[in-house]
Amino acid sequence: MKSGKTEMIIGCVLVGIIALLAVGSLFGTPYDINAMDNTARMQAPSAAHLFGTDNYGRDIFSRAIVGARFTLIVAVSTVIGSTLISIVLGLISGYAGGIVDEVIMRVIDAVNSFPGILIALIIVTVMEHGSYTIIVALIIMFIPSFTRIVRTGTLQYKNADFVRSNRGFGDSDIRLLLVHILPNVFPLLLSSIVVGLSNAILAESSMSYLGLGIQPPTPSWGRMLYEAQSYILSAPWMALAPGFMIVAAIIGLNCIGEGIRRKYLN
Amino acid sequence: MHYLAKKTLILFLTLLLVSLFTFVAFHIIPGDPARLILGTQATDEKLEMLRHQLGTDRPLSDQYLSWIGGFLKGDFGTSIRYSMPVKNLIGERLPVTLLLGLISLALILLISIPIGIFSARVKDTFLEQVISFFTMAGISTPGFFLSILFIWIFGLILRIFTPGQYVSYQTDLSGFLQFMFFPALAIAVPQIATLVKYIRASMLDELGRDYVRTAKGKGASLTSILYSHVFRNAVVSVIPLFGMIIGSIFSGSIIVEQVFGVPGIGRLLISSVTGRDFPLTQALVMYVATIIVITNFLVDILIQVIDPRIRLS
Repeated sequence: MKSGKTEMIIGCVLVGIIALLAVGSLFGTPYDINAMDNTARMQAPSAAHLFGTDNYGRDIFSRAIVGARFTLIVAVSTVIGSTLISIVLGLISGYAGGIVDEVIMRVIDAVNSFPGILIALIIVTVMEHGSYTIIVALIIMFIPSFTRIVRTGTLQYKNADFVRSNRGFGDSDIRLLLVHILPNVFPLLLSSIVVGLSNAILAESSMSYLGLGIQPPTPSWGRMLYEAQSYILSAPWMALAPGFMIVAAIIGLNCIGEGIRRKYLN
Repeated sequence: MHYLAKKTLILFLTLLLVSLFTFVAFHIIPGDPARLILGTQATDEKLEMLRHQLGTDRPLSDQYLSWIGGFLKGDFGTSIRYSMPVKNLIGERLPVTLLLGLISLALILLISIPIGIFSARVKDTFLEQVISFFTMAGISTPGFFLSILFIWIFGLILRIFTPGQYVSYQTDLSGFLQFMFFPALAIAVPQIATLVKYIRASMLDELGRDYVRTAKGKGASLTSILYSHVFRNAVVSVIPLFGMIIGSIFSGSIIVEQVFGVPGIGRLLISSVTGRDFPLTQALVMYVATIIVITNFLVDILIQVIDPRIRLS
């Protein structure tokens, strides 16, 4: 347990299965995700329909794995986007110090004082309701915490002996930052990146539930749950399938994050 | 008092930035907000009227100053959809959200502190595994899914409350509490899970301290050490998280209010977003952010009073 190995294994298995299903959905799904079948409405899970069917007779398993694909696309692009921006901001802020640092950090603090969902709501309100508006919203939501981590790491390393000596050898600031400081700072960010993925999935599915995330007809876990809510008593599988896929994805990512954290702490 | 002065200065600076962000966000809308609201079919006259009503025909600096000036005087603008001052809309719904938040906060503290302490006590046993399984599940379950599960299990199957039948606190307080318990719990669960983990860690940290060894050496039992010494320090360690908890309760209530049909601020906010009621969204965002910034400020001050050690670091 100390080394975080158990967490790592559980996490990798859960995330692996979901990622495989999501990638697999690219090559085809058991049923057409939008095919309505009046003769097969709200059927309980069976061999023919693994997770059952919804109120239009659509196959929930097919919809759920396509939903997994879009959720993962949103989560991964969000985390890549916010990591890149945060690395730039954090390195500059930590390395330059002084007034530059103060300005960046005050702005970051101010953004941070909005609860994440409020930021997402603002962006969704002011941007056109495109499919990828949600990615922009989530990127902005994650920048503050990532930037803080990069800044702290930069502060820690900018006057380390190996950085000083390379500075003495005439390395430029940019080279020092990218070649010497960043590779040391990145591991600090790694577990936050993984946890960031799980937060992105949480935020995306919440926004999709509210009708402000991934737009229909593209299936998404959050929207599937919204649609399932009215049928929860007669067809609980409609809600349970996407719901537990969200939970599994988040648990998996949190486990991996915890595993990485323990590995680097010990 | 140097600390207090600095904190106060930062408070005002943050509020200024928050107001600028909010304002800028709602004024860099690509295209014309009047057209966005009315749609492409709108006549020029109607557009002109709405622009005038929104004030978008005036210079930006004017708009900002009159908006923020009004805000400071308690005039939050007028909602387009409801044709009503935002102040009245907030006034009707604020008590509902505040009560929901308070019940939630009470649940969080009442449940997480005992379980956190208990899980430190049963360290390395099967029970600890059980608790850590539940905390993991609690952290990983989205509020809206939990809400749907509650509605299904406690509302429809066990019939403890009637889903969708909001009971006003003014007409029937006990009915209100009965209805609000599950939304509050849905908001609380992820926070409880986070706090249990945190309290457990800080308890274990405290248990390794010298004063605990001394108490043990004097022959004190583990229970008495836990409750008379370690507990206080562990509770103090939770206080810095208060700002975060308040923020999360609010974020949680935005979604949970929607699922349960609780007529509070969160629901108003979502309906303003989906209805493209820009003045209302803008006012609500500013209003909520202000509450959260001020709460964080007060928490920081409170920590100083309770635990002066933090001032040194």
